[in-house]
Amino acid sequence: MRRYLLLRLGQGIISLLIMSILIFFLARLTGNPLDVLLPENATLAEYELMSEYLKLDEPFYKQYWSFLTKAIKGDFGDSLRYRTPVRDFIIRRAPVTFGLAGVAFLVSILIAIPAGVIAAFQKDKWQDIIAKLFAIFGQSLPTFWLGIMLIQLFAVHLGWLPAGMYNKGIQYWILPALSLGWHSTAGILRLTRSEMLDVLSSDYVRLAKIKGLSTPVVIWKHALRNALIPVVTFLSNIYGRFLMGSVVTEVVFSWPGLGRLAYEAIMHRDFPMVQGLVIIFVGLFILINLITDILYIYLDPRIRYVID
Amino acid sequence: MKEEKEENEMRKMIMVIICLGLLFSIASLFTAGTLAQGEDESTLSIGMPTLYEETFLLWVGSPSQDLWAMVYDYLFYRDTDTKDIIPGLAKEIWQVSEDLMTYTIQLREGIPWQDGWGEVTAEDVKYTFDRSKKPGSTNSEREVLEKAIDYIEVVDDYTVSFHLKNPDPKFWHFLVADISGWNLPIVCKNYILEVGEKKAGEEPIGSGPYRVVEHGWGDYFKFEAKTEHWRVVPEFKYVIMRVVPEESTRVAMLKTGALDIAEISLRSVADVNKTEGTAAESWPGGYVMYVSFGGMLTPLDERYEEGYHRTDPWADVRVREAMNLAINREDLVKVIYKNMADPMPIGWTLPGYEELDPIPYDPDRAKELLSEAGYPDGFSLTLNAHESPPAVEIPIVQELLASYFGEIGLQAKVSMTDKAKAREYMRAAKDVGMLIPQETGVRRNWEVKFPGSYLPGAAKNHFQSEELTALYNRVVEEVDIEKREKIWAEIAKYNRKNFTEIPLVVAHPIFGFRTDKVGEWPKNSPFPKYFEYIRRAEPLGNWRLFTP
Repeated sequence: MRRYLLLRLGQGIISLLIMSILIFFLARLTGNPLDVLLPENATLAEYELMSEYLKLDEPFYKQYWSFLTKAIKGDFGDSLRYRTPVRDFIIRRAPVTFGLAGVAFLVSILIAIPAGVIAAFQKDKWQDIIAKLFAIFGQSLPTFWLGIMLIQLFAVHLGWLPAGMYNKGIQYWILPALSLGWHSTAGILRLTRSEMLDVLSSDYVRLAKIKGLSTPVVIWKHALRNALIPVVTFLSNIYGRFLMGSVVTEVVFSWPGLGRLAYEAIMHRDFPMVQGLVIIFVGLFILINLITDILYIYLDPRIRYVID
Repeated sequence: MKEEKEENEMRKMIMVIICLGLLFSIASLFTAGTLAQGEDESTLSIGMPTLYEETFLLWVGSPSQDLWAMVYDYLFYRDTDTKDIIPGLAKEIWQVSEDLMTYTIQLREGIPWQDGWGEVTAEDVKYTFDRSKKPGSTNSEREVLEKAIDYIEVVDDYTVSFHLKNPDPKFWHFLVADISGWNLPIVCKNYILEVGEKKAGEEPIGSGPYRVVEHGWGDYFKFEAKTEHWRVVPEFKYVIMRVVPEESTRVAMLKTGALDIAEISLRSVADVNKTEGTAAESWPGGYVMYVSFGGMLTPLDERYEEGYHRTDPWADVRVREAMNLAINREDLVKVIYKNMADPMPIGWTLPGYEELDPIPYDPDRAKELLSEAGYPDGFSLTLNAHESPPAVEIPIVQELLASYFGEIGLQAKVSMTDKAKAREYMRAAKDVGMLIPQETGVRRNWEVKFPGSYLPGAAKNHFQSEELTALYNRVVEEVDIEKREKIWAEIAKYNRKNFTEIPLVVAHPIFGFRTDKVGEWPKNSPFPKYFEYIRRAEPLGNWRLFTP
C-alpha cells in the first residue's frame, strides 16, 4: 500500500514537471508581454532595455531553469505587471477561491446526491422529472451566461440578492456558488441517479429487501455505498474544476480570487503570474486525484486486494 | 485481524483528510478579506474595470491617477472651467529661465502630510522625481523623465529648481495634473525612507484630501476624507473604489445601488438612461479613434525591408484618400457612438486640428480615385479588430468599415485578435496588408508622444515620411512656444492632406451614476477625475472649497 502511494506521488511530481514546461512555453507563444506593459510611444530601444531588465531576452531554457529552481522553493518570480512577488498575490487571493470552491462543492454534494437517490427511487415520477430538468439546464447553460442572468433576475429585477461583490454575508455567496456549482451538481445528480438505478436492480439489494430490511436502510446503507464509487471519482474532478472554473464566476461576480487573478494575468501577458497560478492549480489537481485514489481504495475492497 | 487493523487505519486517515479539507474551506471564509459595509449616504462607491495597480508608489502610469489623486497633491492643476493651469502645491506658476533650461517652483508653506509627517517641502519634490527617473525605477515613464531632467536642485525648504538636459518650453507638462500622463503627485520622502517602499506603497502617507483606510487586495480601496484640507474638504466622507471587471455586473450594481458611479461603455448607455434613478453622461475629451495603414515604414527605419514595406495599395495617397472618403463619419457618430463623439479630420488632436476641413463622405469620388490609382476592381485587405477598453466598440466599427469599403469595391476581412497582438504586428513591422485600429488619449505633450507613432525607431509607429520627420525636427529645435504651435499646425495640415491614417472620431468616455446620490461633478479630463470635488445630489453641508 505504501509503495503504491509513493508511486502515485512520484507520478504526480512528474506530471507537474511536464505541465510546468508546457505552460512555460505555451505562455510565451501568446507574444511579448512588453506589448502590453510598455506605453504606446515606447521606442525599440526601450523594448530592448526592458527586455534585458526583465530577463526576457535570455534563451528559453535559461529562463525556464531560473523559473524552475525558484519555483521548487515556492518563488514564482515577480509579476511583470505589478513588480511584486507572484507568491504574495497567490497567498492573498487563494482563500477567496478555496472558500467559493468549497461552498460550491458542499452545496453540490448536499443537493445532488440526495436528489439523485430520490430521482432513482422515484423513477419517472414528478421528482424524477424535476431532477432531470434541473440536470439538463445545469449541463447546457454556460457559466458566464448563467451568472449574468442570475444577477439580472435575483438582484436587479427581484432585488433579493446582491448583484456582485465579495463579502462574508451569506447572501453574497448564493449566486456565485449557484453559478459555479450548477453544472457539476447536474452531473453528480445524473451519475448518482444512473448508478442507483443499476444498483437498485441488483441481486444483493433484492436480497436485502427480502430479508426485511427497511427501505431507507437498503437505499442509504447498502445501495448508495456501491453507487458512490464512480461518483467519488467524479467528485474529485469537481473540486479541481471548481477551482479552475472560478475564473468566469469571479470575473462575473467581481470576486478577488485566483480565478480573476488568472484572467487579469492572461490579459496582460503576465507570464510569471500565469505560470505560478497554473502550477498551483495543477498541483492541487494532482493532490486531489491522489486523495481520490485513497478514498477509492477505502470504498472498494477489490481495489485494495489488487494493490496488496 | 491484520486486515481489520489496516481498515481502521485507512478509515482514520480518510476521516482526517475529509476533516482537514472541510476545515480548510471553512477557514478560508474567515481569512479572506471582507469589505466593511460603508454604503451609506456619506459614502461614494465607484466601480471600475481595474485598479491598474495596487500600490501607491507610482509604477504603471496615468490610469492610476484616479487612486493617486485621492491621496496625494500635484504641483499644478487645470482649472475645470477655463482649462488654465493653476497652482496646486506650488504657490504660483513656475518661473522659467530665458534659455528654457531651468524651471523653478515656489511651494506653499504649511501644507501638512497626514499623521504628523511634517510639511511638504522642496526635498519631497526632488525625491519624487529622482526616485521615478533613477535606474531601476519601474515607473513606466522613467525613460521620458530621464531624457528630460539633468538634475533637481533644492534651493531652500520651499524652492526647487529643475535643470534640464535640453531647452524645453513644454517641460511644465511633467508638473501639471493632466492627461498627458507623466505628471507625478508629490510623495513624502521621510516616510518612504523610514518605512520602506513596500509599506509606503501599501499604506501611503499623502497630503491629499483623502487617506487610505482599507484595502481589499484585488478588490477595493476605501478612502476617508480629512476634516481639514488646504484645497477641498470633500462632501463624501468615504469613497470606495471597487474593481468590477464585467460591465454588465457594474451596470447591475449601479441599478441596485451597490455602486454610485460606474465606468460604462456605449452598449450600456440606453439601459442606464432608461432605468429610474440612474443616468449616463459622457466626459469631454476622451480618446481618439483612428485606423492606421500597415506597412508604411520608410528606409529610415531599421526594420524596413525593400519589396515588403510600402507595397500595399495605400502607399498611393489617392488610395488612402479614397478609403477615407468611403466612410460616413456622421452616421458613425450617430449610430455607434450615440452622439457621444465628434468626427475627426486627422488622427490626433494636434494644435490647429479644429480648423481643418472635415473629411466628406463621397463614395463616388472614392471609386474614381481607386480607378485612377489602378485599382478599378478594388483589392483585398485585413481589418484587425480588438477590444481596447474604453474603446470596446472597435470590433463593431471595423465591421462597419468593412461594409463601407465593400461599397467602393474593396474586399475587407475582419480579423479579431487582442490588443497586445495588434501591437506586436506593428512592433515587428508585420502589419503589411492590414489596417489596425488605434485609440489614443486626447494628448497635449505632442513632443513626447509624436515620435511613438510617426517617427522611425518607435515600436508603434504607423506612418513615416521624410517630410514628417523634418517637420518634427523643426518642432524640437524651436524654443519659442508660439512658433512651435505653428509648426504643429503645419504637421496637422500635412496629415490631413496626405491622409496619414483613417481618422474616425474623438469619443467621450462615459459614466453611469445614481441621480439620487451624485450631484455636481466638475469635468475636465479623464485623468484625474477629481472625485474629491463631487457634490452630493442633496448636500450634507460639510463641503468646503478653498481658492488656491
